[in-house]
Parts: sequence; structure tokens; C-alpha cells
Amino acid sequence: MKSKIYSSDYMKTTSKGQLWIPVLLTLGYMLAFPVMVLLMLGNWFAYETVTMEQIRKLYEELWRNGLMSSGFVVTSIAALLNGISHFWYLYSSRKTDFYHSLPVKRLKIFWHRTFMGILYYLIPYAVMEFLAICIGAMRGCFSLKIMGLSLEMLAMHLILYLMLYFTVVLVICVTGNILMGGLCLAGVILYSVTLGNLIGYYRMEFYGTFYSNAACGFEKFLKEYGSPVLFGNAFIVKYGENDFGDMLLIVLAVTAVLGILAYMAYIRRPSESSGKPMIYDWIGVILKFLVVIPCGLGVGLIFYFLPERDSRFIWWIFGLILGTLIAHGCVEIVYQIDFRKFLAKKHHLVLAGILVAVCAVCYKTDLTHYDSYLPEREKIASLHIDFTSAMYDSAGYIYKNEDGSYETNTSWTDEAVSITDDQGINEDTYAALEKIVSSNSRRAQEGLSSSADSMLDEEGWRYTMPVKYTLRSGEEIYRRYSVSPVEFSQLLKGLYGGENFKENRFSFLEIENKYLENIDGSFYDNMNYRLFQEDPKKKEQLLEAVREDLAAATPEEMIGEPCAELSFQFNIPHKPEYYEKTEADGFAYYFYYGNIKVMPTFKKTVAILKETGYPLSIEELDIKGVAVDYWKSGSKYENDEVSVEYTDETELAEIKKALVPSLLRCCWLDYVTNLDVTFSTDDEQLQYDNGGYLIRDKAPKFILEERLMNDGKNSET
Amino acid sequence: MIDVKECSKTFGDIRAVNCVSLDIGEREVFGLVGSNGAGKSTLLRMAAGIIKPDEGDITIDGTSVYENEEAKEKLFYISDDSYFPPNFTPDEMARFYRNYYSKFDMNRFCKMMDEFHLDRRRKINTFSKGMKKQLLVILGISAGTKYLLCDETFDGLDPVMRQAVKSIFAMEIMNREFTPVIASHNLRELEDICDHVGLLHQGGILLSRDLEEMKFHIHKVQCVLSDKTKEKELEKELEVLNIQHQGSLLMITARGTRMEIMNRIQSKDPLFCEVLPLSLEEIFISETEVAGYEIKNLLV
Repeated sequence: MKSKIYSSDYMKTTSKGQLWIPVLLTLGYMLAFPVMVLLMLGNWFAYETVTMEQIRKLYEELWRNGLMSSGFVVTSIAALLNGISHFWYLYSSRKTDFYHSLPVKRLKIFWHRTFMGILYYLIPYAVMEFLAICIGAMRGCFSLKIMGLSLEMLAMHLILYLMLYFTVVLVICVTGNILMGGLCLAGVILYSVTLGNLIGYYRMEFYGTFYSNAACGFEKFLKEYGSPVLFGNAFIVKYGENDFGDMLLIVLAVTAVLGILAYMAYIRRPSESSGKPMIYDWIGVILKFLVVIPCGLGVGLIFYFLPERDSRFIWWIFGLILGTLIAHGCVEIVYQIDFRKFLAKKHHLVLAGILVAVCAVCYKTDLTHYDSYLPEREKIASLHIDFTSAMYDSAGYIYKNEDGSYETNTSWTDEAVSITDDQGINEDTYAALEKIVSSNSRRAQEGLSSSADSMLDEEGWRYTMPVKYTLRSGEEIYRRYSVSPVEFSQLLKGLYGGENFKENRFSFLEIENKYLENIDGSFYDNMNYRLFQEDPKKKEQLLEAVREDLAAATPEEMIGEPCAELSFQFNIPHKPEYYEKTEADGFAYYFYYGNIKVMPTFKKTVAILKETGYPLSIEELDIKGVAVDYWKSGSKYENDEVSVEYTDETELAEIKKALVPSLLRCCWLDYVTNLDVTFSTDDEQLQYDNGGYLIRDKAPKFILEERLMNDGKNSET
Repeated sequence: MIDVKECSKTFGDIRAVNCVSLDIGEREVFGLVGSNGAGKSTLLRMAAGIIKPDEGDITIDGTSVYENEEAKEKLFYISDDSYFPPNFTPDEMARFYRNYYSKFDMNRFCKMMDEFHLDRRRKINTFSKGMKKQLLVILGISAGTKYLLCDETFDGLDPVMRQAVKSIFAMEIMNREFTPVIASHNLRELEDICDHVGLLHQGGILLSRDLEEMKFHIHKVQCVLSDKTKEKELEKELEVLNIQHQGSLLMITARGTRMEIMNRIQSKDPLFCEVLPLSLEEIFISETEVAGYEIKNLLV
């Protein structure tokens, strides 16, 4: 006889007591779809500037992004509730005996319950989605595309539902009681993020070149894809970007694998194992190690952070041992439901201890060569470098659309600002990177600081430079280097010598002249001036001159000593958001700034700037005195500074050869450390209100000697 | 026929059923007795296809029962600790089972519910333990299965209900192919209902006998003999399982037919002789003591 478990009578009977699930989901999907649509449409229609066409576009975007995300939240809850409600019986031997004594095969029970779960999920979903479509249609937003998007969204959510549902079922099928089930379910959701963060903290503490703002490799995988919920969320993001084809295949494959695993775990689960913490002993052993090792490392790290720096190592070891012991004991107590089993399975404890020790040694001694790692040149497809800390500007790549509007990429990791050519990166750039990596590896071994805030340390001026390597395989690797001015100049020389660095970096110069508003200049007198305010033509000439000079500049010229810095201010059109006021041309406008250091070799530019009369070299300044404050390494803020005033013309002449005003500071030039320089151009009262730096190679001998006398530690020569 | 072939089941370090072989014939009430932990429930759960034997196999009418819909449709299992889905009424339970058992008889169910004075629309969780047991028996009978596996089902039933259930079992056996298997730790409970009894001890089967046959071949006689020499002669001539003295009164439990035993005693010219009824417990005491077991350790 074939059981009638798919008959409506049976479904009606068995639905009793479970109807709260579809009711709750109806409420959830009502908030996720119709209420959200009502809210958003209300918001958009509230703007007087908005057009119906804009609203329709926003509405489409809402279906692709907003409703997809809100729907995913409810879908996750649906998968959790259905999974637990339909397979919860496995934790009770009474219920298991009842259901497994019925004349029906387990595979039928499994698929019947899955089917019932889908019904409970789909009916509220479809009703509320239809309601949302009706609401949109009533407000004038209806199209076949919306219908297509709604069906597509339903299919995507169903796949994600099944992925999460099978995960929950798998967890229930491999665990035997509520405590273990709850812990494992929490573990499935939180484990990867926790482990990813733990790895991140270890890397941050033990690796000098770790970049904490962007995870990569295994850490990234754990943080972005490590659990079904995160994986689903990553898929939603890709779907929103309309670039989800490949990921959909992966999601389908993962769903299928989880479905098969859940099915196998259910079919093979012995009925008599209800109440046992772990149904399959081998899974219990694996889980134990997956928990104990990170716990040991985590507790170790907590004890590492607690004390002062000197005694950290000892406390770290203590924490590692304590964490491993406690975690192993707790797992055994939970597994055996007996507090006396804290020290059970000592061989596992010893093995876990060894593995924790191996991990700790790996981090402490950088056995994986994390700090010295540099991808082979042939494998590098492109580079991204964040110059924010070094060059004091965050101007992004700007490009023009076909309709005449402009768009900007302000993130340094955007694809548009990648540094690359057909060969990836050139030899000079790679050689410079090799030196940077080598020096960073050495510094990490010596325990020198690589903090992002540390611009000055025992080895002089250094700049923090995050780098993203994009390999030809598609893998992205992030590192954060501490770079000296010499290393910076070599790197910039390499970058300017090839690839597309110059074009990207100064892409703002390609903005049409008609959008130019103002040009500001910083000169040798440490002052900022607005140039040619009343002469638009002159401004355009200056812009044109900069373009031509930049195009002709060699890499060597680009890393010279600048004579001025120009800041161009454009008022550029862009595609308006619905809340923005649009001009007659249909665009909204915003201000965009771009800076460029003017080199003495920029002949045409310099010629125009000379017309302003502002000083373009130190010789043009009448410096009456220079004050130098010498301070010791590590004691800048204490009262052991020595101030020396130089007014002698001979000394001033020597100092002027090396003096650079602070506004024209460049990261590729090496300045003398452990002193503050101020200079005065005032005849009557020597007011030292102009800050500056002394280029190390040109610094007068008497300054360097005085500096050495005041800082026994630093042997800079 | 339910055929248990060298079945074993181990839970962790505990061997709950140890190489049990047993045949449960058709149209008989089979009693499975044994003390707590003897393996009765485990054997029944294996027979119901709930748990899989580690070794051996259990077949129902020639087909293995585990994960076999056809075989399982021939049996209805009543657990000692039964479960009913929350808020279900008897009617809903019947509708639930109707989808699994093709021969489920709703009319029969309703009729029996009325006979047992059970409300079909009342929530089962408001029923007493005994009422739940009655309901399960009614559901099991209504399911129309060939075998009904009852785990301690009579525990909790009042004498009137026990009698009613026994009558139903007898009627079912008369009217159709029906074999109830009743597991119990209480021999007295099974005495007046079972045709065949299997005794389980420490996971193994000690004996499996037809009750009538056992009663036919074991008898208890009380007599008074004129002298001690006749008593000794009688002990040699009879297959005595147990002999007790109460003053001059001699109580003999011996193997053999009533006629054989009485003839032997009469030949000794007794002053008084009478055959006493043997309880199932006494039969088992005799049988197991012969097998070298102390019955008090085997049964509650």
C-alpha cells in the first residue's frame, strides 16, 4: 500500500498545532514586502522633484535589492522554524518511536516533511509578494519586468530557503539533544565569523603587514562565506549587483550537497540514539577539535592583551594552556552529560594542546611567511595602493559617462583605479615592492611598530601604505606596509614609469574646462591662494598647461621637489538621485577637488604661476631666521627639547638649501627627523610661524651634529 | 509469522538483546515476559522496525521488517510510553493512522470508542494513562493489522478493561488473522490471556513454550502417604521438579500428564490425594529452576 501522506486530509490533520508557522511567516512577509513597498513608495512620492520614470527605476531597484534583503531575513527565519519544527521529534525517543513505527520509509518521511516546510514557506510568501505587486501597481508601478523580478526573487529565495533549511535539518540529524542542537546551530551561524575574527586578531598582533580593514584569503572566506547565512547574504549582494550567475551555481551546488548530507544523516540516524549528544561519534571528535583549538587560541589572546607588553608572552602561554584545558573539559562534559568527565579522553586533550601549540608557533615565528610574502610578478594582474596616509589626498578616479555626466570611484580598492597594463606590473614597480616587503619583514621580526598612526619611528619618517594585489587567478591579497621615503620614491618611479598610474591618479585633469570653478595654490611661503579668480580664461590656460606638462613629465621628474601645489575645483554634473535638485540639462551638480604637485620641470605651468608673483622657490623668500627644536627619540612631548635659533646669514644660506615649507611636503622626499623647523620672514619681530622640513641629503652639517648631540639614541648620519 | 533470527542489539556498552531467536506463530496471543531491562522493549522495537538489529534479522511473513513499508503495514506498535501529537483528539489520531493503514476501519473505531465510553472529540492530553492505553488498543485493533505489538499495554488498565481487551483480542483472533504480542514484566498479567510465552532474561531468551502444553505436562499434586519409603519411591518414579512438606502433607510438582502422575501416586495407596491448579508463575518457577535460574531474579 502506498501511504497517503501527500493527501490533503493527511496534511490537514498533521498541520494541526503547526499553523502558527505560516501565520508567523505571513506576518513577516507582510512587513518584508507590502509594508516595505508602501513605505518606500510613500517616501519617494513625498519628493516634489521626483519623476515617475525615476520612481519606476527606484521601484525596480527596490525589487532587486531592498525586497531581496528583507525577504531573505524572513526566509532565514522560515527555514529555521520549519527545520526545527519538522525534525525536532528526533530529540525525543518517544516521538521517534511513534513516527518510525509507522509503515512508511524514512525517505518518504524526510521528503514529506521537507515538502510541508516548503508549503508553509511558499504560501505566505506568494500571497504577500502578490500583495506587494498589487500595491505597486496601484501606485502606477507595474511592468512585466517587475513580474519577472518577482518570480526571479521567489526562485532565489526558495533556493536560499532550501540551503538554510537543509543546514538546520543536518544539524538536528547529527545531534541528539536540545543542548547540542542549539550549540551546533549557533556554531554553524557564528563559528566562521568568530574564527575569522580570531585569525584577524592574531594576524594583527603577530604580523606586521596585516591590513585589518579588508579581509582576504581564508579569513575573508570565513567572514563572508563561512556559514550558510553569510553565504546567502553574499549571494543577495551579488544578486543586487546583477552579477550572480556564477554564484547561483555555487549556491545550487551547496544546497544540493547540504540536502544530500541532511538526507543521509536522517536516513542513517539510528532511532535509538535520541538523547545522545552526538549521533555520529566521528563528527563529535571533529567538532571537538574545531572548538577546542580556536578556544585555546582565543583565551591565549585575551591573556596576551591583558598585561603590560613585557610580560605578555608568558601570559599568552598561560592563556593557551588554560583555554585548551577548559574548552576540552567543557566539550567532554557536554558530550557525556557528566561534570566528572572534565578530564576525560586525555589523549584528545594532548593532541588538541599540540595543535594549539603548533598554531601559536606559526603565528609567533611567522612560519607561513606572511610578512615576507610577495606574489610572483607573473601572477599579479593588478595593484591597488592606498596613498591617503602618504599623500594626504583621497581623490578618486573620475570618469565621464556617454551622456556627459561624471562618476567617481572614491574607494582605493575599486576596479577602476587598479594599476595595471598588459603585463600586470612593470619590473621597477615589482623591484620596489620587493624592497618594501623585505624591509617590512625585517621590521616585523625586530618588533618595530607598524601602526598606521606612526609616521615617525626609530628608522625615520615612514608612511603606512595598504596594498591590494589582484592575482590573475582572481584572488585578492591585502597587505599594509610601512614605507620609508626612499622606498616610496622608488615605488612611485616604477609606477609613473608604466601602467596606468599617472592617468588614474590625475584623472580629474580630464574633466572638461567648462566645469572648472576655482584653482587654489600652495606656495613656498606656506600660504594658500585662490588663483585668477576674475580670469576664467587664465584658469583654463593653467589647467591646460598642467595637462601638457604632466603628460610630458618623466618618472624622475614626478618624484622631484615640487615648487607649488595646485588644487582644482570643478562643479561637475552627475546623474541625479531622486531627492536631488536637477538643473535644466537634467543633471545634478556637485563640487569635486583634485590636487597635483607642480614640479619645476612643468615649464608651461610654472610660467603661468610666475605671473601670480607667489614664491615658487626658497630663494624667492627673504628668510630672516630659522628656529630648530631638537628633541629626543621617544620623548617629544617631554621637557627635554633644545631650541636653537639660526639668524646668521651663512647658516641661513645653508639651511635654505634644505628647507621645504610644510605645505609642500612630499612622501617621496626624506626629511631629517627628531627636530621641528620653523622659519620667519618678518624683519622686525622674528615670529616663527611657518613650519617646514629639512631634506636629509641637503641638511647642513651643523644641524645634523646638533641633532646627534641631543639624541644619543639616533645615529642618523 | 514473526521470525526473530539470532538478533542482537547493543546500546553503548550494554547488550540489550543477545542473540535471541524466536518464532511468533499466527492467531495466538504471545506473551513476552522478563524483568526490567531484560530486553523486551528492545525486542519489540526491533520487531516493529523502529530500530535495526546489530546482528540477525526479524522477518514478518518472510520479509525483513526494518525500513519495509509492506512488512510494517502488517503490524501496529503500541509503545509503553506512547506519544500523541499535541492537541490531537482520538478522531484526529484515527484520521492520521488511516493514511498509513489501508485496512483502518473508521466504523469499528467509532464503535469501540463508544463501547469503551471514550469521547472521540476530547483532546487526548486530557485522558488518563489508562484511557490512553485503551485508545491505543482501539486504534491498533481498528488499524486491521495482522500483528499488534503491545509493550506493557496492560499496565494501567483496570480489571474490567483488561477483561474487555482480552475479549476483543479473542474475538479478533476468531474472526481474522490476528496475533497480539504482549510484553510485560508481570506474569500474572499474561496468565489468562497468553497462548504462548517467551521468557527473556539479560537480553537472551530462556524459554519459549506453549502455555497449554506446559500446563498439560506439569502438575502439582498434594497428597499424604502412609510411610517415608513410599515417598522416596515416588520421587524416583516421577520426574519431580519440586517437592515440599507441610507436616504430613506432601506437595509435589512433577513433569508429566495428569493421568501419569495420578496413577503413580495412586499406586502408593495414599491417604489423601488431590491435583492443584498451577499458576503460570509456578510453572515458570519450576521450569527456570530446573534450568538453573532463581525465578525471583527473573521476574518482578
